[in-house]
Amino acid sequence: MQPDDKKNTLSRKVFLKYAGMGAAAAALPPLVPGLARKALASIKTGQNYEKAQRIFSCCNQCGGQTGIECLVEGGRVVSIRPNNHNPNGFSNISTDFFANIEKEGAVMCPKGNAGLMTLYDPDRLQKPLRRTNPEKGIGIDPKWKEITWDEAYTEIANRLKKLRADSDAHKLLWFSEDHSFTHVQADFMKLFGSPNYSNHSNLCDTARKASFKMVMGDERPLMDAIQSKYILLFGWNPLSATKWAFLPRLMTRARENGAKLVVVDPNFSYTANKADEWVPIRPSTDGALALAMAHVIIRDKLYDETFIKEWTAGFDQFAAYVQDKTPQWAETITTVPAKTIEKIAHDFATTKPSLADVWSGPGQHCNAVQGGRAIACLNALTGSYDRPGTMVSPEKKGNKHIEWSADDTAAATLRMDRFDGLKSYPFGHKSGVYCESFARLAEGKGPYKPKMGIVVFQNLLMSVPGTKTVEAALKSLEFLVVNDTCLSETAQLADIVVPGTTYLERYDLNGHWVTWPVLGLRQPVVAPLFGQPTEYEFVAELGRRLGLKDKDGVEIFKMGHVSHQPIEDKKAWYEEWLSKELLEGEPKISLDELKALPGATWMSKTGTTYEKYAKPVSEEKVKAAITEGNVLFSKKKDGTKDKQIGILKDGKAVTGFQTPSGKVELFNAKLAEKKDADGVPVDPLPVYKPRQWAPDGQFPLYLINWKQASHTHSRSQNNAWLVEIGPNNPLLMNAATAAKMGLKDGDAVWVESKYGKMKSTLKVTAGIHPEVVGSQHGFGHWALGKIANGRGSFDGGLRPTKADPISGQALHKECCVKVSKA
Amino acid sequence: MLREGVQGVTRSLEATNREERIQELQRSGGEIRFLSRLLGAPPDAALLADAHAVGLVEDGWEARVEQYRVEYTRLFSCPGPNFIPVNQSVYTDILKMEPSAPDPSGCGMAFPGGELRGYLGGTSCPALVRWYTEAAFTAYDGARQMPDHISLELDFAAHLCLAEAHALVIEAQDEAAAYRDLLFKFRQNFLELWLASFSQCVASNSVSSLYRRVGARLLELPTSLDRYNPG
Ligand code: SF4
Repeated sequence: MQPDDKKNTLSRKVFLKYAGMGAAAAALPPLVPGLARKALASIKTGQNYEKAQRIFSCCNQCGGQTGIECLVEGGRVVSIRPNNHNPNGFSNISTDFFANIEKEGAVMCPKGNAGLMTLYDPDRLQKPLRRTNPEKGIGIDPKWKEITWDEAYTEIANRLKKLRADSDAHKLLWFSEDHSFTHVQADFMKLFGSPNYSNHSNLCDTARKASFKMVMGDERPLMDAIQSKYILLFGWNPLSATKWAFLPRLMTRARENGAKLVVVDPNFSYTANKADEWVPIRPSTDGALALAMAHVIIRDKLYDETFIKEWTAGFDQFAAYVQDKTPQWAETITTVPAKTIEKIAHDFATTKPSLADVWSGPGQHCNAVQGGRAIACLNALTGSYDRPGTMVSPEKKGNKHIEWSADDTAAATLRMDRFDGLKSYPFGHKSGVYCESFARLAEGKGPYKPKMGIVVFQNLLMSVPGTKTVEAALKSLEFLVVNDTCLSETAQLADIVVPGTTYLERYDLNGHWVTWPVLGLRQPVVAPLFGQPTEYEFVAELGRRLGLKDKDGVEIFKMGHVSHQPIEDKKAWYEEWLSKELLEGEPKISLDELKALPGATWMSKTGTTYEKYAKPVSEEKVKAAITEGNVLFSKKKDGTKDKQIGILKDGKAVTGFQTPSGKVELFNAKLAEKKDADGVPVDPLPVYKPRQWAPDGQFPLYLINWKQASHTHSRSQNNAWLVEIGPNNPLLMNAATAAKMGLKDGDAVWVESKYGKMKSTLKVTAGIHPEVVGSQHGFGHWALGKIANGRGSFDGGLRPTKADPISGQALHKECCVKVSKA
Repeated sequence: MLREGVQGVTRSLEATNREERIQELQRSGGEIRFLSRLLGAPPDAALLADAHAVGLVEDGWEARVEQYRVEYTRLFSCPGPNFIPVNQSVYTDILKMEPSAPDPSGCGMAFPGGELRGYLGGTSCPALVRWYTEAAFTAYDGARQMPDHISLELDFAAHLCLAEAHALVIEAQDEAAAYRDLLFKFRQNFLELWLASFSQCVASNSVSSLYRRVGARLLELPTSLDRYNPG
């Protein structure tokens, strides 16, 4: 035989093996008589889709969870529209929603519109990958190898089993997004035995949460803009940084209804652009401005005397503190002219109803909590809490997170301290302290050395300040698993990456951020494109492989929570999980019943209620309560003190505020008993202290960043349409500053801090404070996808990995830089 | 006698042609299925041994199994600089977007609507699902691919070849013709709308000689199928 003949024969043998997979004719496909002819005839008639399906769900292009309606044809999503049954795309006030939704229709933002390109992104990760290069780091090729799901699960589960076997379960850290399947992840960690479940909130607004919590006892009061006549915003851009899609509509309608809008912000944001007045301020000095406003309001007796007397505590101490916080004092700190401060203080206090709100602008510096607290106190002075047109406490009632108790094995490690030192942050949030976690990991500090990390839909390298620290931290882990839809920068440091799902492929229950109880369903509009498990199925599979049980021996990741029978199919299992949360929660309906509701949205009939603090507590509850001073608490089953349910006021039991005194607190002496994470006692007053990092001769400019409607943090820059409306993030600099430095519009510049530098393009404008430069956050990817890669500039490397010592909030805005021509 | 003889010869010639055709369909079907497996997942040792037997990989492959798996991943499953999209939609389909409301939420930004290319999950996916269902084709074990993944489209082409062969074996001529027709139309409406672009990228990739050879073989596939499947 010639070599070629030999090769042909060999090839033929190989091919025939594949033709019959080894057994020639026996393995030929079974023939159904007439099948091919029928198929031919059928496909000749062309595609005939069933009528397009309309499926209601909720967006998750950002954390806003706007209601959506998806049109599905032939298994493809062809359109995403607003859901008119879900108030989250219309209004946070029930009367406004019911009166006007039919006339105006719901909305969603551009990111919601562009959701199809997230679902069908060609850069989505389709298969689990295993790193083969043991060396890790930014710019180092992981040399990925595709593996099967079973291989991925087996390796991850084996690692987890070893941690448990070595009594090291607490050495597992888990980081996730904060709006999706958090319960199942938290429960996994609890039953596994690790106290270290953290999620995104502490990168966002935990300083604001702490500020309002300290003053009026609610972590997240919402502005009732549509009924307000004076809206004062500090460092918030609700017309463009659309946290909830209803915000721009509410602001617009409020203005149409005659409300004044004043925006305090170093940056001339889109909201500032539409305001009556833009008050440019030096970053991180908002607290000083608020104190000076309080000074004017008290000095001129413009406060709501009745509210102060009836519903606040510590007015005298507060008044004494602000006595010397004059507008002139504040002018030197804030650069806001004393005259302007006088005017906005007067307007704010005399226009009724008014509200003052604050978000991430002032909220991401080391003095954020006390600064936000001073702003929250302005509402106290004018009685702007829980009344129409003011800051309203939302009634958040929805699904119930069912509590499971850890078994003895898990309990042993669960009681270890959290690695991130959360308990040393006096107003720390249950989402943890990312910055402390990564700083400790990188520096080898902390109560123990974590060994393994699981990261679900979080791009830590781009979202936590201090890239080098985060890189070192992630590298220090023995094993890192990332579950994400794309190969993000963080995923590039993983040992195993598994493909996640988008919001159009999975379930979730969303208690909406409106003022009355509303819950929207996110449901799979299409099946996961690559047959991959959803994130909750991923968690459940790990739970099953580890045989995790609660203390009563219940395999919660396998047991049907309604049927109480084991369920193999993990989607069906999760449907029961959700049903149970709905049935035991406020809606008291099953998942199927929720699906059948208009817009797949459940809504309480109560609607928005006001002045809940003045509502009487039922006699029955009072009788059963434990009373401490004049504060009432419900009782636990064992007879010990449970939740605060009210206060005794003028001999009557009323709901009050959820503060220690039951009133709005302008001063709280007890706070001094708490120490912040730096060991400094928390001031009983909302004091102004300058932030730690101020400009100097070497780094003379403040660097800030912000969000705009075009993008969500660092996760949307691979979306073609969003990139069309938000193509990059030039560095904004005031025209006067640029002129002084000899820089002009369009110049390539270096922006350098003591931690790192970035290259950017300069945009010269009158719309930014002269001492400040800044840009939209989220650009400058070096991974993620073709469109995102190399587009714009990334500023995360210019900051240290630091958290605010009271709330644990990441300090995204505490940075000083120099700018030079590149 | 003569007539009988001629008929006998014709029959035996037909039989020979049929026999040849069956053999060729089995060979083609097998080869396409083999290519499908090479493009469906990172190769294991068994697949590489076969690739070696047919001259796609050099001697000494046994020491490079991991390397081939990394190469596969870099080319076909890991979005990055060397990635070659493996789904038809990315090559042929259009993602249509409705225009948004003039200013969808009042934030000063709107989309004009329009069409985009290069996306997953296009109209070819539901169309392919329909073809697969009609022809009673089920994806091979372990394939968790979108319906327009190259390995599934190739596997379907192989399925049609082999089904025709089977029909010929049992002398179901009409059925065989229908399978032949199905394959012709499938190539026309799906596979060959993008096979050349895909194969060209694979044949010219800078990562792996194995896959360069696979690409070259794929480029020849339409011609070799035409020889036995003129339509
Ligand atoms: S604000 Fe926009 S991106 Fe966010 S949930 Fe709503 S529609 Fe989606």
